Amino acid sequence: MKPPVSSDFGGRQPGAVKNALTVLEEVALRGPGVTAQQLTRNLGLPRATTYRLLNLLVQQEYLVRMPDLTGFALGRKVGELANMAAPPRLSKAASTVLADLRLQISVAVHLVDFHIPDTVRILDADPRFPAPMWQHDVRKHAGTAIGHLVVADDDPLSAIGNDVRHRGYAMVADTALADEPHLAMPIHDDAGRLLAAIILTGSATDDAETVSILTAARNMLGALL
Amino acid sequence: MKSLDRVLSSEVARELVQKSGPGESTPVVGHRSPLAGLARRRLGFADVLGQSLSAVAPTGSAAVTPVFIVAAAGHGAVWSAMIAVVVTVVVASSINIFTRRMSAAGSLYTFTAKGLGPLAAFCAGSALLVGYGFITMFALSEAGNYVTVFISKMTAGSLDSSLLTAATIVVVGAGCTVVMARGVQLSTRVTLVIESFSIVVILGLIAALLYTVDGSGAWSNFSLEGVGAAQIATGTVIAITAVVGFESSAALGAETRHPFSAVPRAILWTALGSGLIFLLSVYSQSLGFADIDGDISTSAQPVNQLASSLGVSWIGTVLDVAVAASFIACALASATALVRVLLSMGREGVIPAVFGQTHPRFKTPTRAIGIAMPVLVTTAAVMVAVRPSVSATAGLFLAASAIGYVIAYVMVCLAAPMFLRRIGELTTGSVLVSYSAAAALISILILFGIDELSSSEPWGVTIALVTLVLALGWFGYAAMTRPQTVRRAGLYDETIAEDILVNPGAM
Repeated sequence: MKPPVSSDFGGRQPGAVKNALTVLEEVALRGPGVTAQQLTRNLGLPRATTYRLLNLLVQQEYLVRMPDLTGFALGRKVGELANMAAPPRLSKAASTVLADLRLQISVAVHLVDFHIPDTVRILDADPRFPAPMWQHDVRKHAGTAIGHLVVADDDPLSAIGNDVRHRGYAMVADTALADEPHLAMPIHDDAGRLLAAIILTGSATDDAETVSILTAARNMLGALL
Repeated sequence: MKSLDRVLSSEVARELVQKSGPGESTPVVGHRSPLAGLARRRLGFADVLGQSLSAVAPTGSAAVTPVFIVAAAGHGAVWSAMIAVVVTVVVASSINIFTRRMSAAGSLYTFTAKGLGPLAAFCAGSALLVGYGFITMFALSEAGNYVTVFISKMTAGSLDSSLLTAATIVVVGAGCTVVMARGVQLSTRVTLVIESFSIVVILGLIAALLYTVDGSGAWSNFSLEGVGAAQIATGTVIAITAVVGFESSAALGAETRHPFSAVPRAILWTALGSGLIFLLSVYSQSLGFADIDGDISTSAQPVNQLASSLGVSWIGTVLDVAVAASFIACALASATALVRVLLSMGREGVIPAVFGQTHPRFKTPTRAIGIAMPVLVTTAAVMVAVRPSVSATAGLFLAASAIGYVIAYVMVCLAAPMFLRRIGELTTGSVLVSYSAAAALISILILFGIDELSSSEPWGVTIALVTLVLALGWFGYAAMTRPQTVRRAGLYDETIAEDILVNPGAM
C-alpha cells in the first residue's frame, strides 16, 4: 500500500503519517487482538514510537482496544470510510429479485441500505432512470419516506412510527422533486432492525397490487441481504 | 495528527478493509456496553473541560485559600503554590495514562482496579467517595456563605446568618439535584457557563491588583529568609486542596464523544490552567497585602479588604457573586462525578444495584442522585446551622475531602505503571512520572495528617479516616458475601462488537 501524498498535507511530519498508516495496515493484516509488542516487533519501529502512534490512532478511533485492553483492532470508522463511496455488490439472486420487481413497476425502483449508522447508501439504482443524487446523511432526508423509516426505527411509538408499522411502509404524499423518495418499503434483519429499503420515486401509488408486489419482493430480499 | 483524516481516503481505507484478516484467535467481545443507559458519546470537549474546571472551582479557591497558605508559610506562600501546581500536573499526567486508554464512569476507582486489583480499588473508591462527597458539602457551605455575605451587604440587615446560609444550601442543593437528573449535557453546560463567568471575574481582579500595586519591592516579599521547609510543606498541602478536582472529567468518559482525546486534554488543561490562576492569585494577593502593609492572615475577607483598600471595592461585591457561583458549579460538578462512581460500583454489585440504575429518558443515574444528594445537602445544612462558624465547618469539610482526594491520587499513581505492564505498554518515563507523583503525594499526605492531628481541632482528618474505615469495611463485607462482584471490579465502557471493523470477506 503506497501512502498517498496529499498536496494540502504540506509535507509536515510525512514520516509520522507513513508510520501511522503502516501501523493500521499491520493491525488489518494480523486481525483483531494484535498486541503492542507484536506490532513493535513486526514493524521494527522503536517501542515508544509504536505506543505513541497506537494511542493517537485510538484517540482518532481508527483503532479500538479490545475489551481486555491487551490488543487492538481496526475501528468501525475505517469501514465507514471505506464504504462511503462504493457499497458492497448485490448477490445475483438479489439482483434477479430487483429486476423482476422492476418489470412490474413502472416508476423508479431503487434499493438502499442503512448499514452504517446515520447513513443511507444506494445499493442498486434503477438502470431505467437517472441515478438519484441523494445525500448520504440520513438527517438530510427528514420529511421524506426514507426519513420516516428511520424515525419509525428509532422511535416506534411516535406518530410516524405507528403509521409506518400499521401500513408496513412509509409514504409521503407530496414530493417536490421527481426523484425524491416517495414510498419506502423497509427490510428488517433478524433482530428487527432496519437494514435496507426498497424505494419508489416519482408518482408511485400505494394501491393494493403494488403493495403486495413490493411486500413479496421485500420478503425475498430480506432473506438474501 | 489531524492530517491523518485527510490522508486516509476511502481508497486507502478500502484497501485496509480488504486486507483485514480474522486474527489468530476469536477475541471475546460483547454486544452491549456495561455502561449502557448513560447518554453515551454525547459530550464535546468544552463540556468535559467545564466539568473538570468547575470541580476545581478556581475562583472560589483563589478567593478562599491564599489566606491560609500565607498563614502557614509566610513569604514562602508563592513557592508552596508553585510546588503544588507542579505536583498537580505530574499527577494529571499519571491519570492520563488511563484516560487515554479507557473510558469509564468510575474514574480513579475503575483505573485503580485495572492496575492493582479489587482491594486497592476499594481503597481508591472509598477515598474518592470521601473526596467528592465532602467537597460537595464544602462547596455547598461556601456557596451559602458567600450568598449570605452578598445578601447581607445588599440589605445591610442583621439576618440570622446561620439559618440563611443553611437555607441557601438547601435551595442550591435542590437546584443541583434537578439539573443533574435532567441530563448530563445540561449539567455540564451549566457548570461551563457559570465557571467561565467567575474565572473572568477573578482574572479581572488579579489584573487590577497587579496593575495598581507597587511592584518595586516585589522580590523581597518572596525571599525565603526565615521560612523553614516544614512551613513551605504545610503551605503546599493547603495549596493542593485548592486544585483538587481536575480529574473529575474522567467520570464522564462514557458520555463523551471522543473520550480518549477530550478527557486527557481536559484534565491536563484544567490542572495547568487552574494551577496558574491559583498561583497568580497567591502572588497578587501577597503583593497586594504587602503593599497596603496589611496582614493577610488576619483578614476575614481578604479579597474584599484588598479591593476596598485599593479603591476598587465594587470588584469585591462582584467577586462575592463570582465566588458563590464558582462554588455552586463546584457542588454540581463534584456531585456529578460522585454519582457516576456510585453508578459504576452499583453496576458491579459492590454496593446495592439500585445505584446503578439510569433514567430511561434522561439517561442519568437518578437513583444514585436521589440517594446521595439529600444526605449531602442535609448534613451540610444541619452542620452549618448548628455550628457557630460557617468558615470553620467549611474548613472541616475541605480537610476531610483533601484526605480523600490525595489518597485516591496516590492509589491511581501507583496503579498506572502496573496497568501499563499488564497491557504491555510500559515505558521508563511513565514509571518515573507515576512513582514520583505518588511519592510527592504520600509525603504531602503525611505532613497534612501530622499538621491536622496536632492542631486543636483535628475533626477534618478524623471524619475522613472514620468514613474511609467504614467504607472499606463495607467493601470487605461485600467481597466476602458476594465474591463475584470482586471479579467484576473495574467495570468500564469497553469496546463492543459494533465498534470493531469486521471484514465480511474474511469470515
